[in-house]
Amino acid sequence: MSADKVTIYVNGRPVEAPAGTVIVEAAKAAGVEIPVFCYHPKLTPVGMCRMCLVKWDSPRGARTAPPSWTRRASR
Amino acid sequence: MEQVYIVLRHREIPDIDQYETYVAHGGYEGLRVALEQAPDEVIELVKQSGLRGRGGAGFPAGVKWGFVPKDVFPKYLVCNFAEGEPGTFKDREIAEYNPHQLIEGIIIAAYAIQANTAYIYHRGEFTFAAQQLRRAIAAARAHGWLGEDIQGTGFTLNIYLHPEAGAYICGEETAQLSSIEGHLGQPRLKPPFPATHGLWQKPTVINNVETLTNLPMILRHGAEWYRQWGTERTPGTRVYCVSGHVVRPGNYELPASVTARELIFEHAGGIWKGHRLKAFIPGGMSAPLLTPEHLDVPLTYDDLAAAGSMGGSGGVIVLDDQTDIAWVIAKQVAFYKHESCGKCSPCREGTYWQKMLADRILSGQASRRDVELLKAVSDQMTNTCFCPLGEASRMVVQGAYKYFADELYQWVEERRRAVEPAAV
Repeated sequence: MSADKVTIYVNGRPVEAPAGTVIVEAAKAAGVEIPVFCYHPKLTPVGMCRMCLVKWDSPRGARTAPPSWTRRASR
Repeated sequence: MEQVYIVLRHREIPDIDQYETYVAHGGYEGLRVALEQAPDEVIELVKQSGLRGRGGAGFPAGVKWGFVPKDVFPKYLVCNFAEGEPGTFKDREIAEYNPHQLIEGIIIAAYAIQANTAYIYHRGEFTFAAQQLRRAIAAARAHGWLGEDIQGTGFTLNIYLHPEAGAYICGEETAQLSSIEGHLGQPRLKPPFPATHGLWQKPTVINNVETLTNLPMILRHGAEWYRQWGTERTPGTRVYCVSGHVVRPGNYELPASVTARELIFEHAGGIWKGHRLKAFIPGGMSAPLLTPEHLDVPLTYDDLAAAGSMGGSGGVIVLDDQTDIAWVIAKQVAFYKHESCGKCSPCREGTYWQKMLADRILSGQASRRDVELLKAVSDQMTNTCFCPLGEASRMVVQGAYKYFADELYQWVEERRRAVEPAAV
């Protein structure tokens, strides 16, 4: 993971985060709490409970609902 | 259209499961062609042929191989022979009667991605197929097509058989990798994809039996030869497994551009007992069903996707007009509920609710609201499940609801009147 900063838009608001940050943490920094259940910052992501599903737009088109913290912010 | 035998060559050549017969009919020539080329050239040829994965997703095989990093070793090839999709029985026939062509295809694929170990993940129930494969591997090894330094090229490959323990989910590629590693057969998070982080976190390619069995013929005759059948986006032939209420069920290898009408009414002999067609499932049980108005849709991946179903594994299940759609749904969701691995919540809980509601509808104790709830549960599972198993479970219900909602409502109201005493 590089130390580059990327900009993600949470509910339309731009947030700067280091590349590789999980989206749930980046959203938290922006003041948006995404509910999580099987996620813990000290554990590796597993994405099993599917509670944190979010809608997101990727450069390759709109995607619906991948779990928000198994995706990492990248360009 | 006539049947074309590229994969099911044993139908034309008896005893092709014997090494001598197979070699007399051009066996291992495709591999010889491959070994004379650089691995990248083999990948390029398969890309040109447009061969698409026959397991269900229809992903182009050459493109999949292209994702494998060149400089990470060891690499692995896995042949997915966990043919668990209800209504699909093509891989079994291939492995039982044409095993050498499968083994040759595995060696070609392993050479193209430079893997030194290949696993055949076969269903534990297929003991005869496993026996045939073991004999074919032994014969290939005895003639220098397997082991160390194959035909003096310095390329080494060993093939191992790994029996499945009887779980449908292990047909999903990442769950299959977990199972081979000895873990619980549950799917893994993607990305990272198996092409970069597969078996033991090393680059791994997983291909279906039918995909691999096509390779020797493509290498021997070239990409243009293969493209004479099928369509631009789905070239070649596909083996369609016709089952259900038809006169002649069985495997039919036909150009991929064949329509459902031709397959069901000409090759499979039409609907049995003079009944009429009610619906058909075009790609294994996980594909949403289609109705007689879709009979002229070519059975390619793209055309079926445009018609609202999917190409899937090629298992065509035909339902006649005596079939109750409530029974079909109950059968399907019971299977997914049983096979759900329990890893993710939408599938574990969703299939449970689906089965409960479908059973209630079937038993005649449901009301209209139960049908609506079944639809609502399925809609809530949409795009939330971890792997395609849960998505398949909601798709079959949504597909049936789309065309047969009226019949379901009529069903529950008639049955309800029968069990409830009339209001005084």
